[in-house]
Amino acid sequence: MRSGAIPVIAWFVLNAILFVVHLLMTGHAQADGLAAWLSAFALGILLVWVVVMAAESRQVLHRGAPELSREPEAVPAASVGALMVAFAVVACGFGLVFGAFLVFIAAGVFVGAIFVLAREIRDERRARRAWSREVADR
Amino acid sequence: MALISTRQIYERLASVYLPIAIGVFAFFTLLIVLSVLRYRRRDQPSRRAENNALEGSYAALLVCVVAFLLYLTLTDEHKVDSVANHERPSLVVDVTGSKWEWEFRYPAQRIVGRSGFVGDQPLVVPADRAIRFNLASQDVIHAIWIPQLEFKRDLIPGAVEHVTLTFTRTGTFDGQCAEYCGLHHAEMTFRVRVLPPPAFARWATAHRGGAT
Amino acid sequence: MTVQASRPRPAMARPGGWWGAVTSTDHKRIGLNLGCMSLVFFLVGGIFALIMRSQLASDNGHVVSDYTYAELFTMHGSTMIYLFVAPMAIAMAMYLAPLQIGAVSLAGPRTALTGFWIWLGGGLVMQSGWFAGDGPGRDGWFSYVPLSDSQNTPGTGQDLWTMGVTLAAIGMLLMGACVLATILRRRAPGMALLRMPIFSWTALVTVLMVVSGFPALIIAMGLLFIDRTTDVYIYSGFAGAIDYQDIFWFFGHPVVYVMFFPFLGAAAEAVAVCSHKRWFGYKAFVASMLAFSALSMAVWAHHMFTTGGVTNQYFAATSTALVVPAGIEYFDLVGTLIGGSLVLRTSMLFGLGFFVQFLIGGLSGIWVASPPLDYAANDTYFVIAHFHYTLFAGSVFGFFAGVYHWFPKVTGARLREGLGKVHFVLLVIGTNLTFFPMFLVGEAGMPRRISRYPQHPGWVTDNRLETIGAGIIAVAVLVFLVNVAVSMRRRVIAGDDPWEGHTLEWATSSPPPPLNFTRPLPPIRSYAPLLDLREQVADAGPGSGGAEISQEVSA
Repeated sequence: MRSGAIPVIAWFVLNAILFVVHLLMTGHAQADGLAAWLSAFALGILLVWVVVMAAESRQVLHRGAPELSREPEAVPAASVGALMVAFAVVACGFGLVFGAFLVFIAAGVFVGAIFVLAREIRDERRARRAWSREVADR
Repeated sequence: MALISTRQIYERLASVYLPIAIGVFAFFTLLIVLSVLRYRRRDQPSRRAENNALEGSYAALLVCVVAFLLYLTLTDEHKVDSVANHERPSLVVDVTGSKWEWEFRYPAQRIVGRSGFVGDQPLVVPADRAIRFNLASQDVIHAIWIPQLEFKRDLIPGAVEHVTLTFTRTGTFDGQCAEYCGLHHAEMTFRVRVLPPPAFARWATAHRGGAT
Repeated sequence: MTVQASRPRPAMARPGGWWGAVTSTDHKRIGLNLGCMSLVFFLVGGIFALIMRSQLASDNGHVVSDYTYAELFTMHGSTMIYLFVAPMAIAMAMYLAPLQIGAVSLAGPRTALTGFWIWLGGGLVMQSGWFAGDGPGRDGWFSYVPLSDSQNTPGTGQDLWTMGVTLAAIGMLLMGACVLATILRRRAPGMALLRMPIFSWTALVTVLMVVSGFPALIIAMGLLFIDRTTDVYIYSGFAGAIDYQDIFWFFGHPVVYVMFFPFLGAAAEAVAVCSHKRWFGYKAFVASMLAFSALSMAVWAHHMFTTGGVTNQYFAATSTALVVPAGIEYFDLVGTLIGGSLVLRTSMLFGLGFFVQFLIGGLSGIWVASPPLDYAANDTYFVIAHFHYTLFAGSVFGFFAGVYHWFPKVTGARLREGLGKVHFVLLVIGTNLTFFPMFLVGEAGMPRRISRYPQHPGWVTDNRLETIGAGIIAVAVLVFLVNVAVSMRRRVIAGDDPWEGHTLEWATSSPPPPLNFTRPLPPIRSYAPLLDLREQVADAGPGSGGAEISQEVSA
């Protein structure tokens, strides 16, 4: 277990307290309507983060130092797919100013990136399974 | 009700904040310098890594300082933003900002003055009187800043803001747009002429129906 | 007590050369790329500043047109914030935090790589406005509506600026999220939260703010882009103008703390190591970092005090409350210095410089946190002085403290101490000469964002001093660049731990290997594990056999 949602929860609580103080101090002030929504939005992001972590492993909600894990990890050394995704996003953005043709190119690169990423992730999973077997055999 | 002078409020707050700021800066800088002089290379550095009792008391002291500063600030802010607007104004001036010009319109006296990129007609006001300014903008956000009053307020298109201000000194002072509003923002300036109330009354009569 | 991390193996062969540097998912490579590009943008933004300062050295300067001047102050601010200090903060966190917490890799490495390239693309899109017919963004770095709508500022340059900022924000958000996931999920066995080093805690609160604050920028800019380029009007009327500022500053305040915390952490680490003492008051410091960063999400409308559209009292209260966590940080600094064995290396000088100078920035911040005082100071050179003291005299000094402290770890070579001290002295003189007079000239009535002030010849002296100061800053930066060049050319090998560091990054080679640690980690019992080990050895007495304390190496 190496995970820890506790800092996010603690920070959520601090932000929530400030949010409540804000609501109490502004009461029915109309101009501040959006301000409250913004704080609620940030709180929502933190909540989503905690929920996603907890969905992966309930251990995130417990205190304590991470323990030794014998799970093998595969760490990618490089990724061309990631580069392609970034290129697609930037080209799309630039194209929204410059011209639609760039947006189409971006869409094409993005589709290609999906394939490349899928292959990278598949290779990574294979490498991890192979090493898992190797460790088990020892 | 005593008139609220933004300048006096500013000066009084500043006279508390500034010494505290200088004092805190001097205190910590002195401690740092003394530590650097005193604790140069020695064989056995201390292993002391906390002093929670002292730190806790210190934090409590800081909370008291914050409470004190907030008490002063919030009471003064209340005066400037709320109480001032409850004063009965002796004069109403409609101020309209546009790129890159100020228009000062006196509805009761039917006087108009323009200053900025074109024109240099001053804003003329009486001293020691509450003046209601209705602030509007025709295009982008501007801000009316009169350093003599230590006050500025934004002019935001789409709504009229009301502020009530009092000048406590006679003379001629600078005014400037303080919110970047485009190419000639630097030239969107004006002058304020503050006259003693009788002189202002004479001025208003003489300029009735005309320009400032 | 032995600790052994499971040993991950890379899934593919590591590509070499420039293609390897460009596609690498190693957090150290991405962090280094991000840091180096940020430094390039620092120089670009600095040149914009120098041009502005030459214009302002006289009351009616004609170095550039008023139009170009607006482009300069916009691009100076935008480049420094979106493309230098904020990404540099993320770069340091990305490089160092995984090492400090004993992680072998970043969580979500592909996402981080994507984020880096989107950020860089955004930076280039923003700067590409210089080549557009109507020039780059020119409505200030916060680009208020309605000034920045398509009616008041037409043209592709402003569109490119808006899109560039959006992309840069997306990139930083992705990278920040990965660093957050790493700190939460990839700590080494034994690395409890309350054993994480000071820098890692500052990195943690930084990325918490990135994750919860940066989306607002993406929304503000995205909506502005739609407003500008389509027939849909998002921000209309008084409410629209206020809403834009609310959304923008909801990002805009946390970002300045993002630009502060990692550099505070760097200065703190440098000071602690150079004092041969662990950082004082750890638990109070951690609590104050959490409070400081949470408060930073609740103060944003202090940038809007003069609008009349927000509840000034709440924001004045939260802004003034920042005194408490900031004060704790200074208590801990003094506690670290007292009783230490201080070495005045360049990293220590910059660290102390950070703390002394940031104090001026912070105190002037408490000043403008008071609405009646802000009604005078807002949009004047007083505020420019305030934020340059925090961001330049503060964060940039903290950045240099970090550079002199960690350069050996990152490159394997030491920076020259002599050149470092010249760099420090010049930068102190230049910084204070440039920014201190701004407090005075702001108080005297000089507003920000003006290209000339012919009606106020009295301001010329202060402005001239500021311009001289800016020139001295430029020389100081040149000395730094020379130091880097010389130190890389004629390398003085640093070794693993040239400073007797406290934290885990010093327990591996310089530079660290691809998976960060090849040797088993030392036992992690506090936020200064290497210092603990050294003290343990010293207590055990000479000749007691360090081998008993060192780690058993197992397969």
